[in-house]
This record gives sequence, structure tokens and C-alpha cells, in this order.
Amino acid sequence: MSNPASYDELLKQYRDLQLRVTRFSSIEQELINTRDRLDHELVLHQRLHRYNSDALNQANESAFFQLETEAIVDVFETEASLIIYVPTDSRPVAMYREGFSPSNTSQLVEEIKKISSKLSPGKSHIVKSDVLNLFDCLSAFDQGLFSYFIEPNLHYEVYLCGLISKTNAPLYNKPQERHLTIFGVFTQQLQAMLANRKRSEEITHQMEQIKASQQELRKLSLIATRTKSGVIITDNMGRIEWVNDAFTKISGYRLEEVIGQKPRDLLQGPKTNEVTRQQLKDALWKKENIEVTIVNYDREGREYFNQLEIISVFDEDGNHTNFIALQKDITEETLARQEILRMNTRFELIAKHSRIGTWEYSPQDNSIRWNDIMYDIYGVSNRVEPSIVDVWRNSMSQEDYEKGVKDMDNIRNGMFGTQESTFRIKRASDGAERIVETVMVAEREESGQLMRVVGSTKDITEELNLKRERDAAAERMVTLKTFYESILNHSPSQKYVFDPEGRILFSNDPPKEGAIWWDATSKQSIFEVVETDVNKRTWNLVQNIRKSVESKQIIRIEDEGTSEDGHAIQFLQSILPYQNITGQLEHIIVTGVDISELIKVQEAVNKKNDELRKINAELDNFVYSISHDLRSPLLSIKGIISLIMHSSEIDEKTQQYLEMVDGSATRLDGTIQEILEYSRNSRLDLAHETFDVVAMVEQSYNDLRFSAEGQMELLLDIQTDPVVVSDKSRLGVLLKNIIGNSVKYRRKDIHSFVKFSLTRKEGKLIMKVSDNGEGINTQHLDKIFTMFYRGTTSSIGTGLGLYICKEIVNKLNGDLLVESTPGQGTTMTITLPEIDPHE
Amino acid sequence: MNNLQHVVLVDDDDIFNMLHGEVLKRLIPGVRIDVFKSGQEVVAYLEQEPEEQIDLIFLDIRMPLMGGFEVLDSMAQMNQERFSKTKIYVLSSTLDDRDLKRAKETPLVTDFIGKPMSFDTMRTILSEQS
Repeated sequence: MSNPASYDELLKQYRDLQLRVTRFSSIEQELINTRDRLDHELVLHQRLHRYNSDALNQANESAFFQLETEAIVDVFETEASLIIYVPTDSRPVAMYREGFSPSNTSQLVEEIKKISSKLSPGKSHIVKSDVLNLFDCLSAFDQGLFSYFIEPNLHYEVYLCGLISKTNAPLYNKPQERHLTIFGVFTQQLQAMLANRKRSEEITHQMEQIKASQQELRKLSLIATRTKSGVIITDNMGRIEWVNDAFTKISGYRLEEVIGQKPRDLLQGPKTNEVTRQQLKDALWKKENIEVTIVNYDREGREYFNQLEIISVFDEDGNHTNFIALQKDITEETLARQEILRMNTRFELIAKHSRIGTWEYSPQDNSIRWNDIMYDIYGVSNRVEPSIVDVWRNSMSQEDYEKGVKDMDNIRNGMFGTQESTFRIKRASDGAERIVETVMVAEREESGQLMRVVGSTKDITEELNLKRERDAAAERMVTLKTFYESILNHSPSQKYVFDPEGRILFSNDPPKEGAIWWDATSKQSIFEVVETDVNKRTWNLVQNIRKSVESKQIIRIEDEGTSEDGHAIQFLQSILPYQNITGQLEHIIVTGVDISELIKVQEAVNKKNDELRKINAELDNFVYSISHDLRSPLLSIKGIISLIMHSSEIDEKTQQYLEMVDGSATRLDGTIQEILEYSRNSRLDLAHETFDVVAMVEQSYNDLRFSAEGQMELLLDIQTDPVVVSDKSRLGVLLKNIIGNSVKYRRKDIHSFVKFSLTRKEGKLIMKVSDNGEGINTQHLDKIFTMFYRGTTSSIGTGLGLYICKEIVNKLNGDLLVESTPGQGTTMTITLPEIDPHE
Repeated sequence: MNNLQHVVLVDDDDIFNMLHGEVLKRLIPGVRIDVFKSGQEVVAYLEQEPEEQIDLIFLDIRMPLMGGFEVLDSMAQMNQERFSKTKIYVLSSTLDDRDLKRAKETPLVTDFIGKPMSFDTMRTILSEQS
């Protein structure tokens, strides 16, 4: 300051300074104000912080919200506050308030929401009375702080507001810009705290749920493990996830074997009912619960009846997650039930077939029920009244009625549990006296109280009659047996009867020295007898008995025993293994017949036979010699005549005489031949040979043909093998005689023939010789086979020919039949039995 | 039929010998016929004349002492070559089948002929001979 300035300068300087001071002081004031404001904000923040810390520690949501409403009033110095919690799902809206009691809360909520909808979320706003006046519930307020936020993921919205009423507005600090900032912070903090709270709540809830379901699961699996029923749990595709031990026990499959498989592939089999199978399939497809009984197969292929219950399991959201199948092996129950049903059916069938009537008496109403057969037995139609009791009483004979009543009483009062009786009744339908047998049983409860009496009744009249007849028959049998045994005992033949085991049942041969016997008293079987046990004769018989039983053939043996006076007797022992119709051995019957006399006689007969045979042979030779000697001169006569007739120098008359002599000689020769044939046929035994009968016929015809004048023809009709088995010489004589007759009695005025036919039928050889000759008159027909009968005076025969034929056919066991029409011809039919060449 | 030179008849019956001789003579004129009345005679002749060729022999069965079959038995003992061209017929009035059977079973015998031998039979024999 070197040169003091003028006053003015100084004044100016002073004023400047004064201005500067004033300006400073106003800055200072502003600074103070700012400091105050900051201090206030700090206080607000501190308060806010304190509230929030408190709020965080609130376990209860409503307490949390309540604290926050208090915070708004306290921190922001408003008159009232509101927090509205609005869930976006169906949960209820909650409103918390401080210093404010709205008359209509839901309208208030709507009004707040409406105001907020004009504002941006997450920010704070001051709403003045111009807006608030538009809303009924808020029109009393001068201004307010508003904010809201939306939590789309947590599904709620929260609306906040602090309000100052018109009346009290002068008393309150109006919300300033600085309030806005802090209210925004407050809103953000609340949003964060609430979100945390909600999340932790959800987690806690989930934790609890998990915990609960774990417990539930533990319980379930305990049940599933402990239960006797088989349990299968499958996924929603029906693949096995888990099975319990009981399932393994029933089916034989262990969890690790079946996991991921479908139960039906494991368990179903050929006997599984197709309808049931389809029902199951449908239910599983529709995810419905089902209960069926099904035939399943275990691991070893054993079938069992499975009572199956399938439950479909869904989660909370309704998604199908699992099937649970409960299995129960009810094979035994099913089989038992089936068996009971079968037995019941069988019993009913038996009852019906065996005509067993059943009845039931129930003491409650004193009623009796009968089945149809009861009505049949008593001979009443079950459609008509009177009552069963009346029918019963009327049918009973007097004394049996009393017995019946007594029986019933005894049953009713418990004297007897069961009672069996026989009654005589008079059957209503025909008045016949019948005998019925009744069995009754009392059924009682545990307490002994009579429940009912059940009974069965059977008409045993026929049975009794049959039994009586049988008894009579048995008695007759015994008599007969005694009778036959006495016959056998006095029979001269020895009899032994054994059972199939070879033990003796009967013998009429008392044991004696040298007889057939072994120790019969010890009941030793003849099949056990050894050679050293018995005498030679018995041993021989025993061996033959065994052979007979083995071959099932009758065996006859001859042996020698000793008579009572000690001389030798020849026995014929016949062993018969007697079989019943089915071929089973019932008895072995040994019959010994004394054939000593028979043998003696037989020997005598044999001797006589030998002598006879010798005589016969001699006789045969004699007959041949005689016939030869008789024929020789006869034949020489014929020879001489033939010689004379071949000489030229004889006259006609001599010729005639010679022919007559020749004819007589021929007849005489014929007679000699026939007598020889007759004699041979009656004496000689049959001798069968195999030969061609047609050749024989041709030979016979050729031999005879020369004596035939004029034309004659042999016709053959051979339908079968011409080789036959027969007595050749006899058949030769037979055919020669018959064909000879056809030749002899041919008609000379026509073309004559003789026809031979041969057929076989039913084991017979049929030979027919037919001709178109003179025939035989009916009056002679039945006599032509008589000895020496000649049917015609013109006959050149002896009357022996056909007689011999008949005799030969008889000898050959055959038949000779003649059919003839005079003037037309004769047919002789020879029927012979066919003979087996091997016999 | 004419180349037959020598025929032998053996029969104890003169009439048959005569008859058969006549038949032969008529049918084969000039044939040599030797007649023997017993079996022994013909056997003796055959033994004495072993070279003699005989075309036909008619032999009776039933003869005293030695019958036809015995003769045939003796002939069977002889040299068979000489009988190779000889036909032997057994002649008999027998009705005994056994004789017929035996005749047919004897190899030397050609056939059996029932007595008396007729012209027809002889003609048949001769026709078979040629």
C-alpha cells in the first residue's frame, strides 16, 4: 500500500470487501445448509440401514413387511405407508400398512396398481394431489412416494408407497428430491431382500419336501421289501427298475437279472389266458390301474397263478413316471379252490348218480329243505304242498317215526354229533315200502349253538335186496361147493387144485407113500419145490405143471403110481392152467385118472386091431385073387368072341348070339368089378393123394368112350385149380360110375354130351357131372342110391353102381345130390370137403 | 408096323396065349411068336439066348410059382442093353390098383393092358411102335 488511495478508493475497496464478506457468508450459509442436508441424508441412510438389518433378521415374512412399512414412515418421515405384495399366480394378495386404515383394501390395491402402471418400475416417484385426487381411497392425501417392482421369475409384484395427508401436510417435510433417491435405494434393497427371502424359502420348502419324500420312500421300500407280495417297479415304459425279495422268491428271478426287462416277457407263457393278457396290455397302455389273476411262469418254467395288481404312478405335474406291480402267488389257493369246485361238482354228480338225497334243517325257523332226489325218494312232486315235515311224517312207519323224531332230538340237543339210521317208509307215488338210510350231522357254532342239521338220505331197498340175493347166492355157493367137493372126494380120479402162486387149495388124494405129495401142510408152493424134496413122480409132475403154466397149454402125462393094496397103477395126469376171461391164471387143476384098465383094454384092442388088419389084408388079397380068377375065364370068353367076330365066315344069327354072350360076359364082369369096389370101399382106410382130377375125368371118359356108339362129347368147365387132395382110387371109382351112367344112359337120337364142372366154395370142392341123357323118373329118384335098385328094366347095370357112389361119398365125408328131368338129363353134384395136403 | 420080327407071349392060360397069338398073327403076318407058359420058362429062355432080340413082350402078372413082376425083377438083373429096343406090356385081368401102380413104376414096362387084348389095342400099340 504505497500510496494511500483516496477515500473513494478506500471506500470502494471497503465496499468490495463488504460485498466479498457478504458473498462469503452466504457461501458459508450454503455450506452449512449442505452440511446439514448431508447430515440428514446420512441419518436417513443410517436409519434405513438399521431397519434393513432388522428386517433381514425377521424369520416371518409378514413381520418383515411390517418392519419395512415402519421404515418408510420413519425414514422418509411420511404420515402413512403401504406395501402390497401381489403374487402373479393364484396365491393371495397381502397388504401391509402403517398409519393408514383404508375402508376398501381391494379397491386400494387396484388404485395403487393403476397409479403405478403409469410409472416405470424399479424407480421412485413423487405423486402429487392432482393425481391422488383422482382415486377415492387416496384423495385424502396431499402427496406421496411411489415405487414398485416386478419379479417375473419369482411370480410376484410389490408396490410401495409413503403418503402425507392434506390435513397434516404442513407438519411434515414434503418429500424432496433427496427422498426420491433414498426411496429408490430402499425399494431396490427391499426387492433384493425379498427375492433372497423367497429363494431361501423355496429351497427350504424343497429341502423339506425332499426330506419328506425320502422318508416316504424309506417307508415304502421298507414295506415293499418286507411284504410277502412280489413288487415290481417299472419306468413309464414298463421296464423293470426294481423288484423286491418276495418277487425273487415267487418267480426265481433276481433284481440284477431282470433290470431293464419287461415283466410280461419274463413271466407270461403258453397257458397265460389271452383275454387277461389283452386286458393287461390295454390297462398299461391307458396307464390305468388293474387287478387280474393270470397264469405266470417262474424261472424254472413252473406255472403259477398270480394275483396281479398294477398301479400307475404319476408325479405332481401329472406326468406318468412308473408302474408298480404287486404280485401274489395264489397257485395253492387257486388249485385248492379249483379242487374244491371239482370235488363239489363230483360230489353233486355222485349224489345225483347214486341217488343220494340231501336235506338241511335250520332251527332258526324250524324249516327243512330238500333237494330233488329227496322228493324222488319219498315219491312226491316237489311242486306240491304239503310241507316237508308232513310228507315225512306221513311216509314213516309208526315205530320208525318215533325213532326218527328221537334221532332228531338227540342231534338237536347235542347228545350225538352224527346219527345214522335206517327207516321204513311208504313211498307216496306208488305206496311201495322202501327202506332208506339217513346220516345226519349237526353243525354248531363255536359257542355250541346249533346252526343247522344237514343230512343225506338214500333209498337202499334195491341194495338190500341185492345183498340178500347175494347172501343167498353165497349160501347156495357154499352148499354147491360142499356138494361138488364131496363128489370130487369120492371121485375115482385124483384132483389137485392150486392157486396161481402154486399153493394147494384142494386135493382129494390123501398123502400116502409113493403118491403125488409134498409137504402141503407147510403151504409150500409147487414153484418152490426142489427135486430133492419130493419123489420122482411128484418131481415129474411139478416140472410139467411149470411148463403148463408157462405155455398156458393143457399138458397130459402118463405116469405110474401105487394102489392102496400096493400094486402099480397107470395114471393119466391132465394139467389145466385155468384162466379167466381176461387170460389171467386163476387156478391150476391137476386131474389124475387111473387108466390101468383102459391101457389093458387098449392093448387088447390094439392086438385085435393088428389081427384085424392082417385079416383085412388077407381078405383084400383073397378078393383080388377071386376077382382075378373069376374074370380070367370071362375075359377069355370075351376074347374068343371078339376073335370069332373078326372072322368073316359067320352068319348074322351067330353074330347076334355072340353079341348076346359078349353082353352077358360084360355084365358079369361089371358085377364082379362093382362087388370088388364095394368091398374095398367099406374095408379100406382113406388114403389121400394130390392129383389132377380133370385128368382123371378125361381118363375115365376115354376108357368108357369105346363102349359108346355114336357121337358123345366131354365138356369141361373148370373154374379152379384142377389139382385136388382126395382118396384117388375112391374118387376114380366114383367118377367112373357117374360118368359111366351118363355114357350108358345117353340119348342116342341127339348129340349127347357129358359135362364136368369143378368149383371151390367155402372150403368145399364141388364137382358136377351133368348130361343131356334119358334122365331119371321122379318116382325112382329117391331110391336110386339103394342097394341093387334098378330104375329101368332096360338097365344093363347091377343096381350096385350108385349105391357104391353113395357109400364112397359118405366115406369121403361129402354129399351126393341128384337132379334129373326125364328126357332132358341128369346132374349129379358131388360136394367134398377140401383137405389140407399137409394133414 | 412090319419091321416087328419077334414077339414073346407069357401066360399060364392057353386060351389067352391063343387069342393074343391070333390077334398078332392077323395084324403082323409072319411075325415070330414065342409062347411061354410060366415065368421060369421065359427067364430060362432069356438067359439061354442072351443075344436074341425081342421087339415085344406081353407078360401076364398072375401066374403060378413065378408071376410077371418076378420075371421083370429077373430081367432087371440082366444086361439092359438087349432090352433097349424091347417094349414090354403087362397084361392082366387084375382089378388090383396095386398091380397097375407097380407096373407103371417098373422102368422096363411100357404100359399095362387089361385082358383081353383087343384088335384096337394091338393096333394102337403097333402104331406107337413105328
